[in-house]
Amino acid sequence: MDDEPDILRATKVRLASLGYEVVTATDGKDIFSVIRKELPDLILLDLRLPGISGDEICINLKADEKLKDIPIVMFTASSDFNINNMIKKIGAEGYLIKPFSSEDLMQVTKKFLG
Amino acid sequence: MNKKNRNPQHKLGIRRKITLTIFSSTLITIALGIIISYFFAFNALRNSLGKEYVQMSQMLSSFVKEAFDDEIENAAVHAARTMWLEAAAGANTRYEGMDDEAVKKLLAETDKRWDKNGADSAFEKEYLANKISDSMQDLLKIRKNLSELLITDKFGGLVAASKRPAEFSQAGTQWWKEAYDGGKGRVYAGDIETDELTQALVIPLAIPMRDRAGTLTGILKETISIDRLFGRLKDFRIGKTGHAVLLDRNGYILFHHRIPPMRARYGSPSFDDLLKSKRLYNLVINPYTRKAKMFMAFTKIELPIFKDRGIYWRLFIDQDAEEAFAPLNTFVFNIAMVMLVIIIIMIPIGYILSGFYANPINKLRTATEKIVQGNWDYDIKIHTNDEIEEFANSFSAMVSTLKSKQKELIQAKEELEDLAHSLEKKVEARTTDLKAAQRKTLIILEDLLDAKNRLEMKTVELEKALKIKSDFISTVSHELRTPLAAIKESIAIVLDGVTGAVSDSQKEFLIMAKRNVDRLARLINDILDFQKMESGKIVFNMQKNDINETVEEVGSTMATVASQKNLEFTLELEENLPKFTFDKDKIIQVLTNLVSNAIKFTDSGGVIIKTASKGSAVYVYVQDTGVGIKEEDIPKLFMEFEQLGTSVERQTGGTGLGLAISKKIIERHDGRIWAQSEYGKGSTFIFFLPFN
Repeated sequence: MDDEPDILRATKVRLASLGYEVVTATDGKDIFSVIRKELPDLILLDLRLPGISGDEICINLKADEKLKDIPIVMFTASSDFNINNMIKKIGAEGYLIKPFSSEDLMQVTKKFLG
Repeated sequence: MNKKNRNPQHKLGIRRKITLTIFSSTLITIALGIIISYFFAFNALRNSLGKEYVQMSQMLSSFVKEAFDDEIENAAVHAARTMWLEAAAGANTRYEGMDDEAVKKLLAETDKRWDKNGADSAFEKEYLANKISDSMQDLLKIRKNLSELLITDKFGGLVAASKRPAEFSQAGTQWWKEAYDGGKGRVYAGDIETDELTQALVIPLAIPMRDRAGTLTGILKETISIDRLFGRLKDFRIGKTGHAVLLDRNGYILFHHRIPPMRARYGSPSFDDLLKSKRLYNLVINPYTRKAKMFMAFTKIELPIFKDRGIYWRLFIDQDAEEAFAPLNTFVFNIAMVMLVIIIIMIPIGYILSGFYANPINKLRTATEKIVQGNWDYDIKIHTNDEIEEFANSFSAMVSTLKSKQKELIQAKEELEDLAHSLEKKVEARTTDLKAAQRKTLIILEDLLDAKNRLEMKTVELEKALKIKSDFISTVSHELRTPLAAIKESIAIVLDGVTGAVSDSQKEFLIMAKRNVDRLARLINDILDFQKMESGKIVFNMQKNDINETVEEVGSTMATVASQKNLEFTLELEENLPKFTFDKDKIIQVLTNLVSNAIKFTDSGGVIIKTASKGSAVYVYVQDTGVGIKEEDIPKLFMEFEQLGTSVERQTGGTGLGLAISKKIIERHDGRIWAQSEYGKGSTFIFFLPFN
């Protein structure tokens, strides 16, 4: 999920072209109901979101017994802080720095979905 | 203490000292002599006196023995008196035909009668008022030292007595039993005892009476008064305090010229020691008064008659120590007097003798005073023919040397004074200059302080401005990234044909768009990198690394790029470089930047990377055969956003920040980076990293 619809669209098209089923969300409020309903194999989550932030969502998902095994890859535009540390802290499995290339995206997706 | 007071004392110093030395050594010798001679004289006098007194006591004791022997002899004569023998024999007839039992019975019965009848009874008068008793009274009148006479028969029954005995039978008394001796008979002397009637001290003597045939007829008892026995001792006297004293074996006084007998005892620790010692004389504490000292000598008197009963006496001669040793005191006093006279004579002699030493020394002193006063030519006249004369001669020599040295000194002093004067003037001038300079310095210091304060204020302002700038750059860069991501991915999707077939001319422009988007992304990354470097936010991962390995890593990735342009790519690495601490990723970033620049600006020839150690640092060279850099552009190379040859840059997609970032990285390692170039021939970029 991302609050930027353009990025959501581009990513969805790219992953769909590779044969994956993609569900998107822009609002943090919906995210939990969407995930519970769809039970996805991989979650791509933007770090900076209006309202509830990406890292908070990640921590909540990892605290849920049913959802904690779903791998999460964080998107971020920032390289200001130590991303590795942050990822470990919130329990996410990977990250992509914006602007990422198609190759990066495909590599990460393949890593978790085979 | 000042000099004026000390000098007069010193004038007599040596004489006094020498005189005092002579006087005190004489005094010590005399004192020691007196002490030693007193000690020896005391011993000698004690021994000679002791031996003499012992001899005297032996002589006196032989008198006592003789007197005692005389008494026994006389008693034996008395016992042989015919009248007395007959009386005893007559009395013995009473027992004719009686056995022992009957004799005892008779004697017991007679004892009873003796008790019942009074002194004047006819029964007693039979024994006490006969002609035998009368002869006894006569004898006692002649012999004053005898106090009592008594005769018994052969069984102890009374025959006659000078005075009435308490019992008729004497068979139970000790003296009778000893003298009877089971019928054998022997002479017996009893120990000293007190006479019941006269309270005088007496010795009982018992002599067996025998007839011509030698048969024991009776026993004669005589009581000898010891007062008479030791009478000779009374007359004995030495000086005023020398007397004879007789003691029994327990130390009780038997005879003393003043103390009554058997009343007192001699005894004191030193007296007891004398009794035990082999020497028969010594000085002891008065054993009676226990106060003053006495000189005592003694002889042991052992009378044969007492010997078997262990009875003996000691005869002492004692004298007050003061009197006995009076000659010694006189002797010492005389010696002391003689010594005193000697000392009195020695004082003037010592004073005269000391003049021999003091006078020439005084002359020397006078000479030194004259010289001190400035009379350098004063002649010292000393002819003592000894060390003092030698001293005076060498002193004269010293004075003449000093005289010449003094002249030199005065000259030198004058020169020094001139020098000091001129120096003083110089110092004064310098001081004035220095004071002026100091004032100027103070003014400059005040200005500097002002400037420093202003600078500090500016620095704070500048830091604020820099913070605002870096925050702004950071925010803007982040905001740029998100739309860039959308654009990039959108182009990629179209270009990859995901949305349908793309014509060749469309593809050409999409690629162009993609290239520029990538360039923009790089630019944003470089700006962020540089900004982080500048604000110090980046943490360096400093670890021990191998610089050659790092270069090789860069080389392997960049070789492909170089080969695409048909350029030669070479590494020239110095072997065995030590490992040292640096951030490998950051150095890779620098090298990659330098090498990619080199490849970028080189169209033919090649690129060489070299490493070499110099001193305590490693130097890395990135050398190319490219276009080179104009000399005036070299200083601009490491400034941010400076790009040379914009057209080339546009072609190659540089951001203009690479070298500025590299410079920051190298500087953070305490190293330095710079470039050398010849325009048109090529450039070399060099940096060094210190081995920590």
